[in-house]
Amino acid sequence: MRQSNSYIIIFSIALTVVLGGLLALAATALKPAQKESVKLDTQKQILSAVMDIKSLAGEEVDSVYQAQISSLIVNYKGEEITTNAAGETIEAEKVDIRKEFKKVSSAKKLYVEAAELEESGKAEEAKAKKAEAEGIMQNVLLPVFRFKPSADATDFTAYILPTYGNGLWNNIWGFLALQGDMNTIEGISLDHVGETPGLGARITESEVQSRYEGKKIYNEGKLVSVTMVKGEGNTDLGEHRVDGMSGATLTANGVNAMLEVYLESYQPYIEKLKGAGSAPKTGMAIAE
Amino acid sequence: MATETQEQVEKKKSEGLLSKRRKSLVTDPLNDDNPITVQVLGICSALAVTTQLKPTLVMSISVIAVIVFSNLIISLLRDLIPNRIRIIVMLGVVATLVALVDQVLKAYLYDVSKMLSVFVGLIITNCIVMGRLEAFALGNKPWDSILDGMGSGLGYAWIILAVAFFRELLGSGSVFGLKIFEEAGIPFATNGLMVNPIGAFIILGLIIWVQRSINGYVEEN
Repeated sequence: MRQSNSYIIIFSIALTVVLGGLLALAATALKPAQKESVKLDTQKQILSAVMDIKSLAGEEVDSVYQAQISSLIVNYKGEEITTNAAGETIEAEKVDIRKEFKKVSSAKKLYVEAAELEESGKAEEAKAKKAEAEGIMQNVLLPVFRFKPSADATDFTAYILPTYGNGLWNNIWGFLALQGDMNTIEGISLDHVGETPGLGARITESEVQSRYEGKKIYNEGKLVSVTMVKGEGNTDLGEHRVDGMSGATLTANGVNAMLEVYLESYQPYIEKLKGAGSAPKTGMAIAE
Repeated sequence: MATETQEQVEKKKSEGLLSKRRKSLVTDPLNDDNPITVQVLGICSALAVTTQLKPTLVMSISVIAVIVFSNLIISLLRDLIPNRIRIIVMLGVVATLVALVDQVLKAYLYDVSKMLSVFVGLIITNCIVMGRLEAFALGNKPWDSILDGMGSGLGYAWIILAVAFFRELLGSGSVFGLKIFEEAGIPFATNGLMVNPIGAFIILGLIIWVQRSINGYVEEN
């Protein structure tokens, strides 16, 4: 009987239903806890760009975050927006940076294509491509997380910008914190999906991330971003370069490209803040 | 049961819950019949997750849980499972358990789950799990199967923990994330080789060498 076809079919169906039901049940039951974990993880990453959060327990992270971070979303023109293309209210914390990154990179590709067309003299087509890219950029949501040193402070001392890009094997992302002068880097937190442990994965180490502190993204009024160089133990790097990771140049290149693309996207917002003079422009220099 | 591959354990009446035979179900895989060093199964994850102790510990617990529960479930169903589809049934049970473990880790140990990433899912293909189901659980009673799973799981666990201990110590200069050399003020140059899978091969090879020279185990031709 146990070898008959009908028994096998009935057995498989029963097994599938039981196992499938079990999984569905577990997924539904654990969903809230998982969402909470992801939220906490993001908060940790945002805060670790500006402060040491190792000593904070789980709930403390949330309370510090609620008290000291105030978020907003800007578009690629640097204007604050509160609704998305469909007219729904949006929250900076709920923006899917990965999705936004896809938009940014497809727009970037179009810009490059447009430039190539222009060079080969096809002005009309280049214009169309550019318009298409603009159309995509128009819908890109760029969250900004503003940081206050304490709950009662009135001025924001750091602006944390999320970034997303491609590492060597898989996606990388990070949160770049700029000081009030919108030039000096306060700190950065980087994370990845699958960089090589011990090599590219070192971008998550605080020692590597601390190399960015105090570096500047502007050179004589021009946005230049910060570049991680090849090789380790370099000296005399100046304000716009950081020491690299030995054996992980391709991951470093990914980080460099990511920072460049995102700083470019945020440039109008950054320059708006710089121009507003709301930020102190002197006295922020940090010893290299 | 019509399978040819099972190690039938002969039945004894009114056997103690932890009789000598049952104890050996747990203790044999720890040393003489270790799944990694003697049977050479589960090498892939032994290389991949052992750069640090914390994720390795979580991985060990996950694998033990999966082996024990899948052994138990298959053993309970052993008289119902049609022989012709037994492999896919086992795979289904194992995959479900692994998915559950993955979900639980994502909910309560998110940072470790991020570190282990794909390797939790790959427990499904860990030969140790399928091997125990096919060789033991299909032909033995539930309690014996639980013990057998526990033994194999622990045998896997102690080896990968040993590998992870040396890799983290030599590769990152720390134990469970605690930088012991820095704390003690001893200058220590970390060995980059140890954080690579190559480091795991070397450590694993050394462990196998030491173990076999103690046990006098030799491969049969």
